[in-house]
Amino acid sequence: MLLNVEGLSKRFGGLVAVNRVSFQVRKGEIIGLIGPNGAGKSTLVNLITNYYRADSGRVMLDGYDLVGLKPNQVAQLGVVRTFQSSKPFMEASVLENVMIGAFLRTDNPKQARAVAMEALDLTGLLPFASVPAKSLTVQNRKRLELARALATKPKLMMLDEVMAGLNPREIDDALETLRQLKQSGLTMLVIEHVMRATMNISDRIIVLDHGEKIAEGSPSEVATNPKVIEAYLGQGYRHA
Amino acid sequence: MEVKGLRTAGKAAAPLSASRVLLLMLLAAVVVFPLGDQDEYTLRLATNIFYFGALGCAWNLIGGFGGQLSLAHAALFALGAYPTGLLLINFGVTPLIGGLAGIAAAVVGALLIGYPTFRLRGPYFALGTLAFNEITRILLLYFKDYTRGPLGLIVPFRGENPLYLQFANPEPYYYIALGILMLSVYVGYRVSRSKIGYYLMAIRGDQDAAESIGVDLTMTKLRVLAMSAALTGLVAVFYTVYIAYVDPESVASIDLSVKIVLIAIIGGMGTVWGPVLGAAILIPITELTNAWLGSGKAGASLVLYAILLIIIVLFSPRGLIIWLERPYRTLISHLSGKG
Repeated sequence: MLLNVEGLSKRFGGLVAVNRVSFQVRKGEIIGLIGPNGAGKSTLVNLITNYYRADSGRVMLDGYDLVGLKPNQVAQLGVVRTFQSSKPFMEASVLENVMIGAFLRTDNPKQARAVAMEALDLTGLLPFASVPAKSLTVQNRKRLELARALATKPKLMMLDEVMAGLNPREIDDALETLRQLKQSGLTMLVIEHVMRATMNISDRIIVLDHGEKIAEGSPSEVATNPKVIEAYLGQGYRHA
Repeated sequence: MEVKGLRTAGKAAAPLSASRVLLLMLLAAVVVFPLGDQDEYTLRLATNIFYFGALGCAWNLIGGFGGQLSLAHAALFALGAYPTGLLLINFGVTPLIGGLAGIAAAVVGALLIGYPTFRLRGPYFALGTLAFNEITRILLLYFKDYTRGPLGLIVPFRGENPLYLQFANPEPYYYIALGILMLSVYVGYRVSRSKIGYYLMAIRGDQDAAESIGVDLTMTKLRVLAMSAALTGLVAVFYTVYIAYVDPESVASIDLSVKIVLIAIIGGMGTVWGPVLGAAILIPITELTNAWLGSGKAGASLVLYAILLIIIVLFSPRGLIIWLERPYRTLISHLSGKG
Protein backbone atom coordinates (compact mmCIF):
# COMPACT_ATOMS: atom_id res chain seq x y z
CA MET A 1 0.00 0.00 0.00
CA LEU A 2 1.53 3.30 -1.07
CA LEU A 3 -0.97 5.80 0.30
CA ASN A 4 -3.46 5.28 3.06
CA VAL A 5 -5.97 8.03 3.74
CA GLU A 6 -8.01 7.51 6.91
CA GLY A 7 -11.06 9.54 7.87
CA LEU A 8 -9.81 12.86 6.56
CA SER A 9 -12.07 15.83 7.40
CA LYS A 10 -11.87 19.55 6.80
CA ARG A 11 -14.35 22.21 7.77
CA PHE A 12 -14.35 25.82 6.58
CA GLY A 13 -16.57 27.68 9.03
CA GLY A 14 -19.96 25.99 8.73
CA LEU A 15 -19.12 24.18 5.51
CA VAL A 16 -17.80 20.64 5.68
CA ALA A 17 -15.54 20.55 2.61
CA VAL A 18 -14.24 17.03 3.19
CA ASN A 19 -16.06 14.62 5.48
CA ARG A 20 -14.33 11.49 6.81
CA VAL A 21 -12.89 10.41 3.50
CA SER A 22 -10.87 7.19 3.48
CA PHE A 23 -9.22 5.44 0.56
CA GLN A 24 -6.07 3.62 -0.39
CA VAL A 25 -3.72 3.77 -3.33
CA ARG A 26 -1.59 0.80 -4.36
CA LYS A 27 1.75 1.09 -6.11
CA GLY A 28 1.48 1.50 -9.87
CA GLU A 29 -2.23 2.31 -9.89
CA ILE A 30 -3.98 5.20 -11.51
CA ILE A 31 -6.81 6.39 -9.31
CA GLY A 32 -9.40 8.71 -10.76
CA LEU A 33 -10.90 11.21 -8.37
CA ILE A 34 -14.12 12.71 -9.70
CA GLY A 35 -17.10 14.65 -8.45
CA PRO A 36 -19.17 17.70 -9.29
CA ASN A 37 -17.93 21.22 -8.70
CA GLY A 38 -17.36 21.90 -5.03
CA ALA A 39 -17.30 18.22 -4.15
CA GLY A 40 -14.01 18.69 -2.27
CA LYS A 41 -11.56 17.18 -4.76
CA SER A 42 -9.00 19.96 -4.64
CA THR A 43 -9.44 20.35 -0.91
CA LEU A 44 -8.60 16.66 -0.55
CA VAL A 45 -5.36 17.19 -2.49
CA ASN A 46 -4.56 20.24 -0.37
CA LEU A 47 -5.10 18.14 2.75
CA ILE A 48 -2.93 15.23 1.62
CA THR A 49 -0.08 17.59 0.73
CA ASN A 50 -0.63 19.65 3.89
CA TYR A 51 -1.42 22.93 2.16
CA TYR A 52 -4.41 22.78 4.48
CA ARG A 53 -4.32 21.29 7.93
CA ALA A 54 -6.86 18.51 8.38
CA ASP A 55 -9.31 18.79 11.28
CA SER A 56 -9.15 15.05 11.77
CA GLY A 57 -7.93 11.90 10.12
CA ARG A 58 -4.49 10.98 8.90
CA VAL A 59 -2.48 10.20 5.80
CA MET A 60 0.21 7.50 5.66
CA LEU A 61 2.71 7.21 2.85
CA ASP A 62 4.70 3.99 2.75
CA GLY A 63 4.36 3.82 6.53
CA TYR A 64 5.28 7.49 7.12
CA ASP A 65 2.72 9.67 8.82
CA LEU A 66 2.34 12.84 6.78
CA VAL A 67 0.37 14.73 9.41
CA GLY A 68 2.11 17.92 10.54
CA LEU A 69 4.70 17.96 7.77
CA LYS A 70 5.18 21.00 5.58
CA PRO A 71 4.25 20.72 1.88
CA ASN A 72 7.91 20.67 0.84
CA GLN A 73 8.55 17.79 3.26
CA VAL A 74 5.65 15.89 1.74
CA ALA A 75 7.27 16.44 -1.67
CA GLN A 76 10.58 15.25 -0.26
CA LEU A 77 8.89 12.00 0.78
CA GLY A 78 7.65 11.56 -2.77
CA VAL A 79 4.14 13.00 -3.01
CA VAL A 80 4.00 15.81 -5.51
CA ARG A 81 0.95 17.66 -6.78
CA THR A 82 0.13 19.98 -9.64
CA PHE A 83 -2.20 22.95 -9.39
CA GLN A 84 -5.59 23.31 -10.98
CA SER A 85 -4.61 26.74 -12.26
CA SER A 86 -1.09 26.10 -13.49
CA LYS A 87 1.58 28.05 -11.67
CA PRO A 88 4.73 28.22 -13.77
CA PHE A 89 7.66 30.36 -12.61
CA MET A 90 6.91 32.96 -15.28
CA GLU A 91 10.25 34.74 -15.56
CA ALA A 92 12.23 31.52 -15.73
CA SER A 93 12.70 29.46 -18.86
CA VAL A 94 10.86 26.18 -19.34
CA LEU A 95 14.08 24.26 -18.68
CA GLU A 96 14.80 26.27 -15.53
CA ASN A 97 11.27 25.60 -14.28
CA VAL A 98 11.76 21.87 -14.58
CA MET A 99 15.33 21.98 -13.22
CA ILE A 100 13.93 23.48 -10.01
CA GLY A 101 11.87 20.31 -9.64
CA ALA A 102 14.91 18.15 -10.33
CA PHE A 103 16.91 19.94 -7.61
CA LEU A 104 14.82 18.10 -5.03
CA ARG A 105 17.00 15.01 -5.61
CA THR A 106 20.35 16.58 -6.45
CA ASP A 107 22.46 19.64 -5.62
CA ASN A 108 24.35 19.50 -8.90
CA PRO A 109 23.07 21.81 -11.70
CA LYS A 110 24.39 19.49 -14.41
CA GLN A 111 22.50 16.50 -13.02
CA ALA A 112 19.39 18.63 -12.51
CA ARG A 113 19.61 19.70 -16.14
CA ALA A 114 19.89 16.09 -17.33
CA VAL A 115 16.85 15.00 -15.29
CA ALA A 116 14.91 18.06 -16.49
CA MET A 117 15.71 17.33 -20.14
CA GLU A 118 14.35 13.81 -19.67
CA ALA A 119 11.11 15.15 -18.20
CA LEU A 120 10.81 17.68 -21.02
CA ASP A 121 11.27 14.91 -23.55
CA LEU A 122 8.56 12.79 -21.91
CA THR A 123 6.08 15.65 -21.94
CA GLY A 124 6.91 16.85 -25.44
CA LEU A 125 8.30 20.19 -24.26
CA LEU A 126 11.84 19.70 -25.51
CA PRO A 127 11.43 22.21 -28.37
CA PHE A 128 10.41 24.87 -25.83
CA ALA A 129 13.25 24.31 -23.36
CA SER A 130 14.80 27.77 -23.63
CA VAL A 131 11.54 29.71 -24.00
CA PRO A 132 10.30 31.80 -21.02
CA ALA A 133 7.48 29.94 -19.26
CA LYS A 134 5.13 32.92 -19.55
CA SER A 135 5.07 32.59 -23.35
CA LEU A 136 3.65 29.05 -23.27
CA THR A 137 0.10 28.20 -24.37
CA VAL A 138 -2.41 26.80 -21.88
CA GLN A 139 -1.76 23.27 -23.10
CA ASN A 140 1.98 23.63 -22.72
CA ARG A 141 1.64 25.22 -19.31
CA LYS A 142 -0.23 22.11 -18.19
CA ARG A 143 2.55 20.00 -19.64
CA LEU A 144 5.06 22.13 -17.79
CA GLU A 145 3.27 21.48 -14.50
CA LEU A 146 3.52 17.79 -15.28
CA ALA A 147 7.20 17.95 -16.30
CA ARG A 148 8.15 19.93 -13.21
CA ALA A 149 6.40 17.43 -10.96
CA LEU A 150 7.97 14.50 -12.78
CA ALA A 151 11.46 15.95 -12.36
CA THR A 152 11.12 15.55 -8.59
CA LYS A 153 11.06 11.76 -9.15
CA PRO A 154 7.86 11.27 -7.17
CA LYS A 155 6.38 8.05 -5.83
CA LEU A 156 2.88 9.44 -6.14
CA MET A 157 1.80 12.22 -8.42
CA MET A 158 -1.50 14.00 -7.87
CA LEU A 159 -2.69 15.76 -10.97
CA ASP A 160 -5.30 18.41 -10.29
CA GLU A 161 -7.23 18.85 -13.54
CA VAL A 162 -4.26 18.73 -15.88
CA MET A 163 -6.71 18.23 -18.75
CA ALA A 164 -9.10 21.06 -17.97
CA GLY A 165 -9.25 23.61 -20.73
CA LEU A 166 -7.72 21.33 -23.35
CA ASN A 167 -9.42 20.41 -26.62
CA PRO A 168 -10.19 16.72 -27.41
CA ARG A 169 -7.00 16.18 -29.39
CA GLU A 170 -4.87 17.71 -26.68
CA ILE A 171 -6.65 15.49 -24.14
CA ASP A 172 -5.71 12.44 -26.19
CA ASP A 173 -2.10 13.59 -26.16
CA ALA A 174 -2.19 14.08 -22.41
CA LEU A 175 -3.75 10.64 -21.89
CA GLU A 176 -1.03 9.08 -23.98
CA THR A 177 1.60 10.75 -21.78
CA LEU A 178 -0.12 9.48 -18.62
CA ARG A 179 -0.22 5.95 -20.05
CA GLN A 180 3.49 6.08 -20.71
CA LEU A 181 4.10 7.26 -17.16
CA LYS A 182 1.98 4.44 -15.79
CA GLN A 183 4.04 1.98 -17.79
CA SER A 184 7.18 3.35 -16.21
CA GLY A 185 5.63 2.38 -12.85
CA LEU A 186 4.48 5.76 -11.58
CA THR A 187 1.46 5.88 -9.27
CA MET A 188 -1.03 8.64 -9.98
CA LEU A 189 -4.11 10.22 -8.53
CA VAL A 190 -5.90 11.97 -11.38
CA ILE A 191 -8.49 14.57 -10.52
CA GLU A 192 -10.59 15.40 -13.52
CA HIS A 193 -13.75 16.96 -14.69
CA VAL A 194 -13.34 15.40 -18.11
CA MET A 195 -15.20 12.13 -17.62
CA ARG A 196 -13.95 10.44 -20.76
CA ALA A 197 -10.36 10.99 -19.65
CA THR A 198 -10.79 9.51 -16.18
CA MET A 199 -12.85 6.54 -17.34
CA ASN A 200 -10.23 5.74 -19.91
CA ILE A 201 -7.09 5.47 -17.85
CA SER A 202 -8.12 4.84 -14.26
CA ASP A 203 -7.77 1.45 -12.59
CA ARG A 204 -10.19 2.60 -9.94
CA ILE A 205 -12.38 5.62 -9.50
CA ILE A 206 -13.36 7.42 -6.34
CA VAL A 207 -16.39 9.67 -6.45
CA LEU A 208 -16.81 12.60 -4.08
CA ASP A 209 -19.99 14.57 -3.55
CA HIS A 210 -20.49 17.29 -0.93
CA GLY A 211 -17.22 16.29 0.68
CA GLU A 212 -18.13 12.63 1.11
CA LYS A 213 -16.98 9.57 -0.73
CA ILE A 214 -20.11 8.18 -2.33
CA ALA A 215 -18.59 5.46 -4.49
CA GLU A 216 -15.41 3.62 -5.28
CA GLY A 217 -14.70 0.93 -7.84
CA SER A 218 -13.73 0.10 -11.40
CA PRO A 219 -14.78 2.65 -14.04
CA SER A 220 -17.67 0.48 -15.19
CA GLU A 221 -18.89 -0.15 -11.63
CA VAL A 222 -18.83 3.53 -10.85
CA ALA A 223 -20.52 4.47 -14.12
CA THR A 224 -23.48 2.23 -13.31
CA ASN A 225 -23.72 3.10 -9.62
CA PRO A 226 -27.12 4.77 -9.12
CA LYS A 227 -25.77 7.14 -6.44
CA VAL A 228 -23.10 8.39 -8.81
CA ILE A 229 -25.55 8.79 -11.66
CA GLU A 230 -27.79 10.78 -9.41
CA ALA A 231 -25.06 12.99 -7.99
CA TYR A 232 -22.94 13.55 -10.99
CA LEU A 233 -23.46 11.60 -14.16
CA GLY A 234 -27.20 12.09 -14.22
CA GLN A 235 -27.17 15.28 -16.21
CA GLY A 236 -24.47 14.07 -18.55
CA TYR A 237 -26.41 10.93 -19.33
CA ARG A 238 -29.57 12.81 -20.02
CA HIS A 239 -27.76 14.85 -22.64
CA ALA A 240 -26.19 11.82 -24.25
CA MET B 1 26.97 26.05 -37.40
CA GLU B 2 30.10 25.16 -39.30
CA VAL B 3 31.69 28.51 -38.58
CA LYS B 4 30.84 28.12 -34.93
CA GLY B 5 32.43 24.69 -34.89
CA LEU B 6 35.59 26.04 -36.46
CA ARG B 7 35.73 28.85 -34.00
CA THR B 8 35.45 26.64 -30.95
CA ALA B 9 38.06 24.31 -32.44
CA GLY B 10 40.40 27.26 -32.91
CA LYS B 11 39.66 28.58 -29.45
CA ALA B 12 40.45 25.32 -27.70
CA ALA B 13 44.03 26.54 -27.18
CA ALA B 14 42.96 29.86 -25.67
CA PRO B 15 41.98 29.42 -22.02
CA LEU B 16 40.11 32.76 -21.77
CA SER B 17 36.70 33.43 -23.22
CA ALA B 18 35.91 36.84 -24.68
CA SER B 19 33.68 37.77 -21.75
CA ARG B 20 36.48 37.01 -19.29
CA VAL B 21 38.94 39.09 -21.29
CA LEU B 22 36.49 41.97 -21.20
CA LEU B 23 35.97 41.57 -17.47
CA LEU B 24 39.73 41.54 -16.84
CA MET B 25 40.19 44.62 -19.00
CA LEU B 26 37.48 46.43 -17.05
CA LEU B 27 39.04 45.35 -13.77
CA ALA B 28 42.51 46.45 -14.90
CA ALA B 29 41.14 49.85 -15.83
CA VAL B 30 39.54 50.26 -12.40
CA VAL B 31 42.69 49.09 -10.65
CA VAL B 32 45.06 51.50 -12.44
CA PHE B 33 42.57 54.39 -12.31
CA PRO B 34 43.91 55.94 -9.06
CA LEU B 35 47.47 55.87 -10.41
CA GLY B 36 46.46 58.54 -12.92
CA ASP B 37 46.81 61.23 -10.25
CA GLN B 38 43.08 61.73 -9.68
CA ASP B 39 41.85 64.36 -7.29
CA GLU B 40 40.55 63.26 -3.93
CA TYR B 41 36.92 64.03 -4.75
CA THR B 42 36.91 61.71 -7.75
CA LEU B 43 38.43 58.87 -5.77
CA ARG B 44 35.94 59.34 -2.96
CA LEU B 45 33.07 59.34 -5.44
CA ALA B 46 34.36 56.09 -6.97
CA THR B 47 34.77 54.60 -3.49
CA ASN B 48 31.17 55.54 -2.68
CA ILE B 49 29.99 53.90 -5.88
CA PHE B 50 31.89 50.74 -4.96
CA TYR B 51 30.53 50.33 -1.48
CA PHE B 52 27.00 51.29 -2.41
CA GLY B 53 27.27 48.88 -5.35
CA ALA B 54 28.28 46.19 -2.85
CA LEU B 55 25.25 47.04 -0.70
CA GLY B 56 23.04 46.78 -3.77
CA CYS B 57 24.55 43.37 -4.59
CA ALA B 58 24.00 42.22 -1.02
CA TRP B 59 20.35 43.30 -1.07
CA ASN B 60 19.93 41.83 -4.54
CA LEU B 61 20.55 38.30 -3.19
CA ILE B 62 17.31 38.23 -1.24
CA GLY B 63 15.47 41.15 -2.84
CA GLY B 64 16.39 40.65 -6.48
CA PHE B 65 16.99 36.94 -6.95
CA GLY B 66 14.47 35.98 -4.26
CA GLY B 67 11.93 38.75 -4.89
CA GLN B 68 11.65 39.48 -1.14
CA LEU B 69 11.54 43.26 -0.94
CA SER B 70 13.42 43.86 2.29
CA LEU B 71 13.35 47.38 3.68
CA ALA B 72 15.37 46.34 6.73
CA HIS B 73 18.80 46.50 5.16
CA ALA B 74 19.66 49.81 6.81
CA ALA B 75 19.02 48.12 10.15
CA LEU B 76 21.38 45.30 9.17
CA PHE B 77 23.90 47.93 8.12
CA ALA B 78 23.60 49.63 11.51
CA LEU B 79 24.02 46.28 13.26
CA GLY B 80 27.27 45.85 11.36
CA ALA B 81 28.52 49.38 12.04
CA TYR B 82 27.72 49.91 15.72
CA PRO B 83 29.60 46.94 17.25
CA THR B 84 32.60 47.74 15.07
CA GLY B 85 32.59 51.40 16.09
CA LEU B 86 31.90 50.77 19.78
CA LEU B 87 34.60 48.12 20.12
CA LEU B 88 37.08 50.43 18.41
CA ILE B 89 36.21 53.55 20.43
CA ASN B 90 35.69 51.97 23.85
CA PHE B 91 38.25 49.19 23.81
CA GLY B 92 40.60 50.05 20.97
CA VAL B 93 39.74 46.80 19.18
CA THR B 94 40.85 46.89 15.56
CA PRO B 95 37.99 46.79 13.06
CA LEU B 96 39.65 43.71 11.57
CA ILE B 97 38.43 41.89 14.69
CA GLY B 98 35.60 44.16 15.83
CA GLY B 99 34.22 43.89 12.32
CA LEU B 100 33.66 40.18 12.83
CA ALA B 101 31.38 41.07 15.74
CA GLY B 102 29.62 43.56 13.48
CA ILE B 103 29.10 41.00 10.74
CA ALA B 104 27.90 38.44 13.28
CA ALA B 105 25.45 40.99 14.72
CA ALA B 106 24.09 41.72 11.24
CA VAL B 107 23.58 38.02 10.56
CA VAL B 108 21.88 37.39 13.91
CA GLY B 109 19.72 40.46 13.37
CA ALA B 110 18.79 39.21 9.92
CA LEU B 111 17.67 35.86 11.29
CA LEU B 112 15.61 37.57 14.01
CA ILE B 113 14.00 39.80 11.40
CA GLY B 114 13.57 37.07 8.81
CA TYR B 115 12.05 34.38 10.96
CA PRO B 116 8.79 36.22 11.70
CA THR B 117 8.60 38.32 8.53
CA PHE B 118 9.19 35.55 6.00
CA ARG B 119 5.72 34.25 6.80
CA LEU B 120 4.42 37.44 5.23
CA ARG B 121 4.09 37.74 1.50
CA GLY B 122 4.26 40.60 -0.98
CA PRO B 123 3.72 44.09 0.42
CA TYR B 124 3.18 42.71 3.93
CA PHE B 125 6.75 41.44 3.96
CA ALA B 126 8.06 44.83 2.87
CA LEU B 127 5.99 46.53 5.60
CA GLY B 128 7.15 44.03 8.23
CA THR B 129 10.79 44.65 7.43
CA LEU B 130 10.17 48.40 7.37
CA ALA B 131 8.84 48.13 10.92
CA PHE B 132 11.96 46.27 12.03
CA ASN B 133 14.09 48.97 10.46
CA GLU B 134 12.30 51.67 12.45
CA ILE B 135 12.49 49.63 15.65
CA THR B 136 16.24 49.30 15.22
CA ARG B 137 16.67 53.02 14.63
CA ILE B 138 14.56 53.92 17.63
CA LEU B 139 16.38 51.44 19.88
CA LEU B 140 19.71 52.97 18.83
CA LEU B 141 18.37 56.37 19.87
CA TYR B 142 16.81 55.04 23.07
CA PHE B 143 19.84 53.22 24.50
CA LYS B 144 21.95 56.35 24.37
CA ASP B 145 24.10 55.27 27.31
CA TYR B 146 25.61 52.64 25.05
CA THR B 147 25.10 54.06 21.57
CA ARG B 148 25.46 57.79 22.36
CA GLY B 149 22.01 58.20 20.82
CA PRO B 150 21.62 60.97 18.26
CA LEU B 151 25.20 62.18 18.82
CA GLY B 152 26.50 59.07 17.12
CA LEU B 153 29.95 57.51 17.25
CA ILE B 154 32.96 59.47 16.12
CA VAL B 155 35.85 57.20 15.23
CA PRO B 156 39.05 59.09 16.08
CA PHE B 157 41.84 59.10 13.55
CA ARG B 158 44.97 57.69 15.16
CA GLY B 159 47.29 58.26 12.25
CA GLU B 160 48.02 56.01 9.33
CA ASN B 161 47.72 52.41 10.55
CA PRO B 162 46.82 49.55 8.21
CA LEU B 163 46.06 47.29 11.19
CA TYR B 164 43.27 49.68 12.14
CA LEU B 165 42.30 50.25 8.51
CA GLN B 166 43.09 53.92 8.94
CA PHE B 167 44.82 55.69 6.10
CA ALA B 168 45.69 59.31 5.36
CA ASN B 169 45.11 58.94 1.62
CA PRO B 170 41.94 57.92 -0.21
CA GLU B 171 43.65 55.26 -2.37
CA PRO B 172 43.65 52.39 0.16
CA TYR B 173 39.95 52.91 0.83
CA TYR B 174 39.34 52.89 -2.90
CA TYR B 175 40.98 49.49 -3.21
CA ILE B 176 39.31 48.02 -0.13
CA ALA B 177 35.89 49.13 -1.40
CA LEU B 178 36.71 47.71 -4.81
CA GLY B 179 37.65 44.39 -3.22
CA ILE B 180 34.37 44.29 -1.26
CA LEU B 181 32.43 45.08 -4.43
CA MET B 182 34.18 42.30 -6.33
CA LEU B 183 33.41 39.85 -3.55
CA SER B 184 29.75 40.90 -3.58
CA VAL B 185 29.47 40.50 -7.34
CA TYR B 186 31.16 37.12 -7.11
CA VAL B 187 28.75 35.92 -4.42
CA GLY B 188 25.82 36.99 -6.61
CA TYR B 189 27.33 35.18 -9.57
CA ARG B 190 27.81 31.97 -7.60
CA VAL B 191 24.35 32.10 -6.06
CA SER B 192 22.71 32.67 -9.46
CA ARG B 193 24.32 29.52 -10.83
CA SER B 194 23.71 27.17 -7.94
CA LYS B 195 20.76 25.25 -6.59
CA ILE B 196 19.89 27.98 -4.12
CA GLY B 197 19.74 30.49 -6.99
CA TYR B 198 17.23 28.32 -8.81
CA TYR B 199 15.22 27.97 -5.61
CA LEU B 200 15.21 31.76 -5.25
CA MET B 201 13.91 32.01 -8.81
CA ALA B 202 11.10 29.64 -7.81
CA ILE B 203 10.30 31.64 -4.68
CA ARG B 204 10.17 34.85 -6.71
CA GLY B 205 7.91 33.12 -9.24
CA ASP B 206 5.31 31.39 -7.08
CA GLN B 207 5.79 30.34 -3.49
CA ASP B 208 3.01 27.73 -3.42
CA ALA B 209 4.33 26.05 -6.55
CA ALA B 210 7.87 26.20 -5.19
CA GLU B 211 6.78 24.46 -2.00
CA SER B 212 4.90 21.77 -3.94
CA ILE B 213 8.12 20.61 -5.60
CA GLY B 214 10.09 20.52 -2.39
CA VAL B 215 11.49 24.03 -1.88
CA ASP B 216 11.80 24.78 1.83
CA LEU B 217 10.67 28.40 1.67
CA THR B 218 11.72 29.56 5.11
CA MET B 219 15.11 27.82 5.15
CA THR B 220 16.02 29.02 1.68
CA LYS B 221 15.08 32.60 2.45
CA LEU B 222 16.82 32.59 5.84
CA ARG B 223 20.05 31.22 4.37
CA VAL B 224 20.11 33.81 1.63
CA LEU B 225 19.15 36.63 3.97
CA ALA B 226 22.03 35.59 6.24
CA MET B 227 24.44 35.80 3.28
CA SER B 228 22.98 39.14 2.34
CA ALA B 229 23.37 40.38 5.92
CA ALA B 230 26.98 39.21 6.14
CA LEU B 231 27.89 41.22 3.05
CA THR B 232 25.89 44.20 4.29
CA GLY B 233 27.72 43.95 7.62
CA LEU B 234 31.06 43.80 5.82
CA VAL B 235 30.29 47.02 3.97
CA ALA B 236 29.19 48.58 7.27
CA VAL B 237 32.54 47.70 8.84
CA PHE B 238 34.29 49.44 5.97
CA TYR B 239 31.94 52.42 6.25
CA THR B 240 32.67 52.78 9.96
CA VAL B 241 36.40 53.32 9.40
CA TYR B 242 36.05 55.15 6.10
CA ILE B 243 33.41 57.72 7.07
CA ALA B 244 34.50 57.53 10.72
CA TYR B 245 31.07 58.66 11.87
CA VAL B 246 28.07 56.47 12.66
CA ASP B 247 24.71 57.80 13.83
CA PRO B 248 21.15 56.43 13.67
CA GLU B 249 20.01 58.92 11.04
CA SER B 250 22.70 58.06 8.55
CA VAL B 251 23.01 54.28 9.05
CA ALA B 252 19.60 53.09 10.29
CA SER B 253 17.18 55.38 8.49
CA ILE B 254 14.54 54.35 5.99
CA ASP B 255 16.35 56.68 3.64
CA LEU B 256 19.29 54.30 3.48
CA SER B 257 17.06 51.22 3.13
CA VAL B 258 15.28 52.82 0.19
CA LYS B 259 18.56 53.92 -1.38
CA ILE B 260 19.91 50.35 -1.30
CA VAL B 261 16.73 48.96 -2.86
CA LEU B 262 16.73 51.68 -5.49
CA ILE B 263 20.30 50.89 -6.53
CA ALA B 264 19.25 47.34 -7.33
CA ILE B 265 16.02 48.39 -9.05
CA ILE B 266 17.69 51.05 -11.22
CA GLY B 267 20.40 48.66 -12.33
CA GLY B 268 18.28 45.55 -12.63
CA MET B 269 16.93 43.30 -9.87
CA GLY B 270 17.98 39.69 -10.00
CA THR B 271 20.92 40.30 -12.31
CA VAL B 272 24.55 39.84 -11.27
CA TRP B 273 25.79 43.25 -12.47
CA GLY B 274 22.61 45.32 -12.15
CA PRO B 275 23.36 46.80 -8.71
CA VAL B 276 26.84 47.87 -9.83
CA LEU B 277 25.33 49.82 -12.69
CA GLY B 278 22.62 51.14 -10.38
CA ALA B 279 25.21 52.51 -7.94
CA ALA B 280 27.24 54.01 -10.80
CA ILE B 281 24.13 55.94 -11.81
CA LEU B 282 22.44 56.77 -8.51
CA ILE B 283 25.45 57.79 -6.44
CA PRO B 284 26.71 60.54 -8.80
CA ILE B 285 23.14 61.81 -9.20
CA THR B 286 22.65 62.09 -5.44
CA GLU B 287 26.03 63.83 -5.12
CA LEU B 288 25.01 66.35 -7.74
CA THR B 289 21.59 67.05 -6.24
CA ASN B 290 23.12 67.33 -2.78
CA ALA B 291 25.47 69.97 -4.14
CA TRP B 292 22.53 71.74 -5.78
CA LEU B 293 19.95 71.60 -3.06
CA GLY B 294 22.26 71.26 -0.11
CA SER B 295 22.04 68.01 1.80
CA GLY B 296 20.45 69.91 4.67
CA LYS B 297 17.02 69.98 3.06
CA ALA B 298 15.31 67.04 4.71
CA GLY B 299 13.41 64.77 2.35
CA ALA B 300 15.01 66.12 -0.83
CA SER B 301 16.72 62.78 -1.45
CA LEU B 302 13.45 60.89 -0.93
CA VAL B 303 11.76 63.06 -3.54
CA LEU B 304 14.60 62.32 -5.94
CA TYR B 305 14.36 58.57 -5.23
CA ALA B 306 10.63 58.62 -5.86
CA ILE B 307 11.06 60.38 -9.20
CA LEU B 308 13.78 57.97 -10.31
CA LEU B 309 11.72 54.99 -9.22
CA ILE B 310 8.70 56.17 -11.20
CA ILE B 311 10.82 56.72 -14.32
CA ILE B 312 12.40 53.28 -14.08
CA VAL B 313 9.16 51.43 -13.39
CA LEU B 314 7.44 53.18 -16.28
CA PHE B 315 10.12 52.94 -18.92
CA SER B 316 12.46 50.11 -18.02
CA PRO B 317 10.99 47.94 -15.27
CA ARG B 318 13.72 45.35 -15.61
CA GLY B 319 16.35 47.96 -14.84
CA LEU B 320 18.85 49.76 -17.00
CA ILE B 321 21.21 46.82 -17.37
CA ILE B 322 19.06 45.39 -20.15
CA TRP B 323 20.10 48.33 -22.37
CA LEU B 324 23.68 47.18 -22.05
CA GLU B 325 22.89 43.61 -23.02
CA ARG B 326 22.92 44.05 -26.78
CA PRO B 327 26.05 46.26 -26.98
CA TYR B 328 27.72 43.75 -24.67
CA ARG B 329 26.87 40.82 -26.94
CA THR B 330 28.03 42.70 -30.02
CA LEU B 331 31.28 43.53 -28.30
CA ILE B 332 31.78 39.94 -27.19
CA SER B 333 31.17 38.57 -30.67
CA HIS B 334 33.63 41.11 -32.10
CA LEU B 335 36.25 40.14 -29.55
CA SER B 336 35.67 36.44 -30.18
CA GLY B 337 35.90 37.03 -33.93
CA LYS B 338 39.28 38.66 -33.59
CA GLY B 339 40.53 36.19 -30.94
